[in-house]
Formats: sequence, C-alpha cells, structure tokens
Amino acid sequence: MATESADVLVIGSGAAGAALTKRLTDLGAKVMCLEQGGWIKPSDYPSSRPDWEVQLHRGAFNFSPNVRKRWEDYPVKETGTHPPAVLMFNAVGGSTHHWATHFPRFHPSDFRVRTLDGVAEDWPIRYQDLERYYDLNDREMGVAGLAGDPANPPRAKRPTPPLPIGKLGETIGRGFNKLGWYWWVSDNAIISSDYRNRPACELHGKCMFGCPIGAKASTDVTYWRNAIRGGAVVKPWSRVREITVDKTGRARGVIYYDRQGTLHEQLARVVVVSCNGIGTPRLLLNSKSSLFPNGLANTSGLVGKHFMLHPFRFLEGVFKEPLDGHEGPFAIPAMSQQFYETDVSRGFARGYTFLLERSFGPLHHAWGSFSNNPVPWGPDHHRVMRQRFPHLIRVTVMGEDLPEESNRVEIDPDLKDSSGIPAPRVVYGYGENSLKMLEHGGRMARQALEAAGAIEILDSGVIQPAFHLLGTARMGRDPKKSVVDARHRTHDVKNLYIVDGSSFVTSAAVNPTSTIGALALRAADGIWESRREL
Amino acid sequence: MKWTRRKFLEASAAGPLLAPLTAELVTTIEAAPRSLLNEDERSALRTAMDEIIPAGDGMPSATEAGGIEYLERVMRQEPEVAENTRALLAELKVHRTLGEFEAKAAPEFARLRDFVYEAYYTQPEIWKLLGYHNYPTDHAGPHMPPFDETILSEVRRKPKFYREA
Repeated sequence: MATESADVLVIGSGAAGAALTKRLTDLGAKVMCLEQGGWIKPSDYPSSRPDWEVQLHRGAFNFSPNVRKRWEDYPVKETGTHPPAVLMFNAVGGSTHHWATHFPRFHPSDFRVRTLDGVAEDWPIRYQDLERYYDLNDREMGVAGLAGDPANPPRAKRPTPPLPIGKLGETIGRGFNKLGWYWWVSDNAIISSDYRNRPACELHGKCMFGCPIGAKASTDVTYWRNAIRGGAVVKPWSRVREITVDKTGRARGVIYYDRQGTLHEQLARVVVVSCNGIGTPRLLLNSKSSLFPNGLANTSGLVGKHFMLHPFRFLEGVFKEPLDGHEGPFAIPAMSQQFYETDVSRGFARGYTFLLERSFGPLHHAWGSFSNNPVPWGPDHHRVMRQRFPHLIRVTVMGEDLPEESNRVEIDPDLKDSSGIPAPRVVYGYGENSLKMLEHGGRMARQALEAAGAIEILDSGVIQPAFHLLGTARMGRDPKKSVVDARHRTHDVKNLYIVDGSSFVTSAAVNPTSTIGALALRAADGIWESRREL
Repeated sequence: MKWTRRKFLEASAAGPLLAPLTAELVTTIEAAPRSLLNEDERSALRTAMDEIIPAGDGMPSATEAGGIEYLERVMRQEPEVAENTRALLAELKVHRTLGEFEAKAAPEFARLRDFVYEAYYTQPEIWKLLGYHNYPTDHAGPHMPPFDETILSEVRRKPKFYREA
C-alpha cells in the first residue's frame, strides 16, 4: 500500500544521504530516508570489549558484509584479476561507523585530469564549486586539523585544533623534514575539543570499531541528530527492492521490504540514491521496467562501469624505541603529498598520498599487522613480538585509481540477499598505471622510514584492493559518457538523483568521505533550486 | 619466572580490568562443562599450542595462558569456529611436525596459528606482561601531549605545492 508522498526520498543514510537530508531539511523540504540497517547503540560497539581485535577476523562488526552476514547486509561476489575485499557497513550512519575519519580534500587538479594530464575525464565541476561545501561539511561533521598546508589550497581555521600525533607522528615527521619533503598534520572528522554538544576525543584508539562517546563523526551523531530535530524522517530496517517509474518515465517512488518481510511502496516527488558505489548501481540495475529494460538511468550503459578502488601498499618501519602506535585516535595523524601531482618522469600519470598511520593492538601485531608479516611462531615468537610491539610506524601509499570500463559492478545471476533481491558481483583488476605508482610509492616510503630511523621495514607489497567504492554512476555533461549531470540529476530521469561515491568521475588520491559530504550538500542545494520544475 | 596456569589465574584475578573475563574463565574450569574435545584432541592441541607460543622471555606458554579453555569457550559460542577447529585438528593429525603442517598446508596452518595468537593476545594478563593498556572506550583514555606546531615550521616556509586548475 502506498503511503503519503515525500518531497524527497533518500535511499541510504551514510555520509551522503545524511548530509543531503540535513541540508534539504534546513532549506524546508520534507525528506524521508530509507535505511536497510538499524540504529547502532553505542553499547553494541566492540571497542569497549577485550576481544575488539577479533572483529578483524570474524563477528557482527567485521568490515566485510560477506563475513558479518547480518540480516541487513547483502552479499557481494568478488571477482576479476585482483578480486577486491569489499568493505561497507549497513546501519543508520552507514560506513561512517567504521571509517578511520581521514578528511582530506581533492586538489584543484583532481577535477581536470584530462585537460592537465591526458587521462580519464574531467569533472563537470571545479574545486571552486565545491569549496564552500567542503567548509560547511567540516563544520557539520566537526573536524580537527590545522590550516596552512602549502600542498593544498588555503582553508578556514579548522573547527577544532589538531589531534595529538604522539611519538609516532613526531618520529616520522622528523624523517620527512630530514628529506625536505612536504607533510602536514591531517584533518580528521574527530573533534579534539568539545564541539556542538559532542565531547572531545579521549584518545582510546579504537575508532574503527565504533566510538561510543560520539567524538568521531559517524553521521548518526552528526547530521542525523539535527536532521531529525528539524523534521526529517529516517526509517531503519527498510530494504529497497526497486525504484518504480510512471508511464512518463518519472520516478514514482520505491518498493521496499521491512524487517518482517512485508512489502511497502513509498511515493516521492524526488528520489535520491545514496547506497554507495556498489549498492547504488545494484539498485539501478535491479530497477528494470518496460521503459528502462537495462536498468534505470542506464541509457548510456555505464551504470556499474568505471568502478574504482584506491590502490594501497603498506610499509611498516620497526623502530628501536617504543612508539605507542596503538594509543591515540586511529585517525590519520599526518600525511604527505610530496608525490601527489603528476610528474611524467616517474613513469605514471597522477600520484599518491602517504598516510602516516597508527596500529591496532597486540593481537593484530601478532597476526602480521597491516604489512601482513605475522610474528613467527616457535622459539623466536616472544623476541620478535617485543621488537614490534609497540614499535611500528606505518606509511601507507594510497594512489589514484584511473577509471577503466572493464572494472565494474553488475548483478550476479545467482546471488541474492536474505529478502531474495539479486545481489551484486564486482569485477576488478589493477591497471598498469596503479601498479607502477605502487612500486614508486613503496620505494619512497622506504626512504621516509629509513630517514626516520627504522631498523627494519616490513612491506605488504601490492595488497588485495579493498577501500573506497567509487565511480559507478559517474558525473558528466555528455549523456553518452556519464550517468548524472553536474547537479547529480540522472540524464534519463528528471526527478532521480545519484549522490554518493558512485558519482565520482575520478578517485583522486585521497580518502573520499569529505568530498562525498561536500558533493551531497551541493546536490541538496541543486535539488532545492530546481524544486519548482521537479 | 616459571609460569603455571595457577599463577596466571591468580595474577589475572588481581587486575580489576580483567575481572569479567577471568571470572568467566574460572567458572569454565570449576563448573567443568563437558569438554568439546576428547583427551587425544586436547593432548594434540596442547602440544601444538605450546610449540606455537612456548613459554620464555618472561611470558607463559599458550596453554598456561588458558589457550585451550579460551578455544573451547569460543567453540561453544560460535558453531563455525567449532567446525573449523575440528577440521584443523584432523589436519594436525596428518602431519608429523608443525613445520611439515606449515609446509604442506600453509593456509590451514595459518588459521591454527592465528587462532592460537587470538587465544593468547586477548588475555588481559598477557597485555599486562607486554605493557599494553587497552583503554576500553567506557574508561578514560591515555594522556598524550597536544600537537606542537613547531615541527611543521620548515614545511610552512616552503612554496605552494599544488597545481591551480
């Protein structure tokens, strides 16, 4: 049975859906959001339990939906020449429950990669179009950091001062200084002092397993609190099966299951899809009709194509002195963009960021930490364990992934979720450019760790791709080469918008969440400005 | 120091942080629920666990730290783990030494090794011996000095380093 129509119906309550809902609610729209997961109680987070690290291998808070297998999760088949380990979380707040909170911005050049470097496609918007939304998103989420990084455009004073970087940050920072390389204390969406009724970070260090005090910006404690106060409605345990269209080809609303398996229809004037770079193309491809036999908004055939994941490589330096990398916020203490902008003499296009990072606890060290070098078993075990814990500094190479049409999300012919909705399959392989970049990054990271005084360096090599789901319904001016326009409106359906990592044209070499939030705020303004024609 | 399970449990009981876990462990031993493993399996497991993490360098061995009790507790709580453990025990029997197990069935051996590590490094008493403070999120966190900007003074003096577009 159809219910009363919403002005705007948002599907997905993560970084994008939350920001867009709050902004539109502030502007005066009646917004409803459907979320397939539930609210997470702070007491449910494993971060207060002694077995918190076990969640890295199994448990209801594991990062992978294929391991967690909660009702609200859907399975993802992982295939290709480099099958990814897909990470996401389904709850009010989405994957912001799990994320590490790094909050860098794109560079101006990231929006002009075709013009400047002859690769991929330019975005139809520029850094300047997004700048004020980056600022607004920083204030809404609550950010700790320091303005003044010469490797980035100037930005306003950060809402709260930088988080402590500890012995680890100081040690690797001195290494970068010795080499004369650019580096800077990172922006993170964790507040270092009390801010807008949220308490300051207490430095526990288990941010990726949930922050029960709310110092970390998961959108359930940032955007959602205020959006709901303003009148927005979020309906948890609502799993959307398909977006429906009327006979003129306008989006009519959605059909969704509740937790008991009952089907409902929700009507809306505008539908916004914010289900992440895999969930969004899955929903569009599952929304077939006589008007859209290949899936909704897919006239270009590009829904699900150009799937991007950031190429990563982890190098861990072992230092003589204890560095206590497990203490302090797990967020990124500092970063270096010494090799961010293109330099053709390096043999690859675009570039990468070094993330200077902390560790989890003793168990993760024994298992091999991020470089995947387990502490040996047998007589040498205790000696090596004491050498590594707590003596590691991690330098992560995070590269830009170039969009390739063969990397894609599609519907698997057999796999289904617990409601019987067809589930996705991802097909992914690293491109040659990414592999060259990771090789260069590995060598440079080694130099940095040696300059900082590392006595041994553990190297993951090229890892299984995993992080950041991007590019599968990309933005552009040409309807043949893109799925949405510069305002996130689909080229095919006038009142359907796609707002999340899917709309990225390129990945840049930074964590995407601050850009996802900024894009969502800008998209909300676009919807509001177009409301009379929708 | 020679570590025994008794000493380990006594030391564990002394720490307030450890109380819930220790109480559970003691209960497990005192109530003596029917073991999920037969005597042969326990014996094989005991030998393997203590070869993977032997006592030494002031640290107890895997079984002195309650490894078998931990494993059985998790097997009871998680059927998938119980099934995996039984498969690993069957595989363990096939090989004459752990070195041979590792050489001939590396992924299965890694699962066994990782589970032994889990049984060991989730024990608060082991943390204490390592000097690790867990700082659970319902307690106070560590003290860290605030960020000192002077470490960035050299970078601050550098020219702009991004491309305008």
